[in-house]
Amino acid sequence: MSRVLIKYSFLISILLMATASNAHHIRGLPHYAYSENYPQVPVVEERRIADEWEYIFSYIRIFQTNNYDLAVYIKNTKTGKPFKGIVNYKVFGKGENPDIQHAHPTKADPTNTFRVGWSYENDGIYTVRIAFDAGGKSYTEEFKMQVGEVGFNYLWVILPGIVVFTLLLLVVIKRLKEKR
Amino acid sequence: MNESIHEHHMHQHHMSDTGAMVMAGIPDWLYYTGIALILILSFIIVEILNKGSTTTKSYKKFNLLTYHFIKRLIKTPYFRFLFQFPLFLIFCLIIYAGIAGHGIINIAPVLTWTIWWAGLVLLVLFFGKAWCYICPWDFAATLLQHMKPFGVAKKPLTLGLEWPAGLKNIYLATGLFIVLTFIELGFKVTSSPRDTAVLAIVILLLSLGPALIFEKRSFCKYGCLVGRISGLYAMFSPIEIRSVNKKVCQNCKTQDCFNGNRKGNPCPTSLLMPEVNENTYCILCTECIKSCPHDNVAVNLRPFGTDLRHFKEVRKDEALLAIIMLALTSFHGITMTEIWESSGSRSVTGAIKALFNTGPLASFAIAMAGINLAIIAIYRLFCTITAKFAGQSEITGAKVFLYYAYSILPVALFYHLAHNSMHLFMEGQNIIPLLSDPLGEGKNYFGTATLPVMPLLSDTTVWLLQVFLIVTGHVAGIVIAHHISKRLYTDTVKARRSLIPILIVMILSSLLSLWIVHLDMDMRSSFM
Ligand code: SF4
Ligand code: SF4
Repeated sequence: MSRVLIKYSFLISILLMATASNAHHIRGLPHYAYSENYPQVPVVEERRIADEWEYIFSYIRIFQTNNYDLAVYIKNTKTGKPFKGIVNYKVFGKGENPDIQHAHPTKADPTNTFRVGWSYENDGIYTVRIAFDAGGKSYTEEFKMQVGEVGFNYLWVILPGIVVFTLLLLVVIKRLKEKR
Repeated sequence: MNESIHEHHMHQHHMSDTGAMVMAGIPDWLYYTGIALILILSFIIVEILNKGSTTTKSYKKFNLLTYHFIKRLIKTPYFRFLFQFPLFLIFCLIIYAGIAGHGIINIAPVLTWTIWWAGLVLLVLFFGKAWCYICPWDFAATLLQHMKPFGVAKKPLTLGLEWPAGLKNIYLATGLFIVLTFIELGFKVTSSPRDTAVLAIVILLLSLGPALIFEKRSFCKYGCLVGRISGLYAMFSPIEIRSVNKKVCQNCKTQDCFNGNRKGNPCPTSLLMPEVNENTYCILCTECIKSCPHDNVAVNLRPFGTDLRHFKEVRKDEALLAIIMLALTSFHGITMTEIWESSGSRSVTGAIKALFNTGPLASFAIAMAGINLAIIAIYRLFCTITAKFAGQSEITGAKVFLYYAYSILPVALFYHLAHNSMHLFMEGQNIIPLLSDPLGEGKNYFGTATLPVMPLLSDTTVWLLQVFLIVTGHVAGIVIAHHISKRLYTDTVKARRSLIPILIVMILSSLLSLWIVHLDMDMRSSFM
């Protein structure tokens, strides 16, 4: 019986080891691209084509603060020309209603990039909504950004672990009773 | 959020071709060609079938185990382990990356939703229940219960309770699938590594918990949504496990396939080989091949759609799941288009918000229920019309619903494939950079993190493939409906009359599928 218990303690400790992780420092480097001229500042950059527009969206964490710069460059894929009008930025977190957030109108800088910067009170995943009008039509695109650390509720590991452990215990008790 | 504009930095962009996130729908010419093909083929196929088809009870099959090396491999105790163990490690990686990795750039969602979930239906089409053979959750349960990774266990650890009689059907799995679809689309978990990890943990709990409580693999048999959906689709697949000769089974005293012996474990889904007539509940574990003392178990290659033509009896739970699959997969496609969610009240959710004054999630739930129930109700209505039109009073609309649902299954399966092929072939390449940086930490393990990646297939190829799949599903549906009509009605004229309304339902659902793939797809919201 003790061999069974040893085997199970081993299995359970492996399970716990596999799920325990230290606080993870998120550097936010992209799988889309790397801006290598900012070795100390993480950058996420995403290129997307939707309708007749090509977007290059990026965000930069200003060193270790909770200030982030957002930038979007929009090019018309048919004419090859960058968009130069007004771009409205809206940023909202999980569960926040975008309809009640106010939009921030932005003009293009000399590189035809639309930039805004905010500091964020709470860490988490935010949605960046970019809206603009061109040729009598309205366009909206959404991008995701991560601010600071995004945690994980370990109850999702602990509770299932307790359930499995309890069931195992019941099975072992039943076995012991059967042996007697 | 405090609004304070910073001084901005100029920075250079290093770009890679990640391709479009909104995938354009099939072009007009292909859309109209698809419609024409569906209409023309419908009548041609029916005409051909009416002229000269025969319904036989037997079908062609070829036992792969006549090749001795295949038989040896399958009988090798650790052969399955060679597939299950790597998948188990990948599964652990998904949980670990989902918990500890970056909140956006992370391998967990891509592996789970783009590769596995989208690829699963393709796997079922060609290899039936192959997923269950390599299933990592089953491996985890085996490891826990047997205390060894493979081989025969004399007394697996379990309380061994009998699965509740009221749940000896696939309603639980169907319910879980509806819940998963709601969570997946309503909460957009497919783009969240953390939520993906939570789902992976829940599914691990669902495989371990019931294994410790109930006898054998009752949960795999009745409750596992992946197993049940692939089980239903596997009725169409060209692979089956059956007895070589039923007479040998009839004379068999030991029934080791059911009871197990020192060479193989008892059938985990409590199947007795001579009674296996469909793929639905067999999880392809191959234990019966190892245990049968008479070498009387075969792994057969057979024509596509065999079980749907030769099923022994109709089952209410299976028929309902087939129609729900059609409804849910169509619904899923719609949620990714502009008509689902766009600003203002012109979209489905916008209209519901305006009508009921509900929040986003409640509007989603109402729309989901509405669209799915509407599709099911339309099918039910056509079944009533079919029963009336065929004119045989003892065959009611409810009976028609059950029988013809099996002919709707290929339509659902092939639309599901058309939808998933878009994810697999347009987004599957996203795994390449993530292999080098699975946790989004800025690593570059294999030098692929900055590699420019292109979709596996071009837009045009994916479009052609989608239309081909939808038309194939439509044709397969008609062929199966024709067989079913002959089973349902002994009178040939009544059988033919019953086909007409069902043909209209099929044309409508195939046209709906074509219309959905004609619309632009927002590839960010979900992957199925
Ligand atoms: S498959 Fe083999 S063990 Fe099972 S009933 Fe047939 S002969 Fe017997
Ligand atoms: S033992 Fe045989 S019949 Fe039973 S699930 Fe495994 S492969 Fe299928």
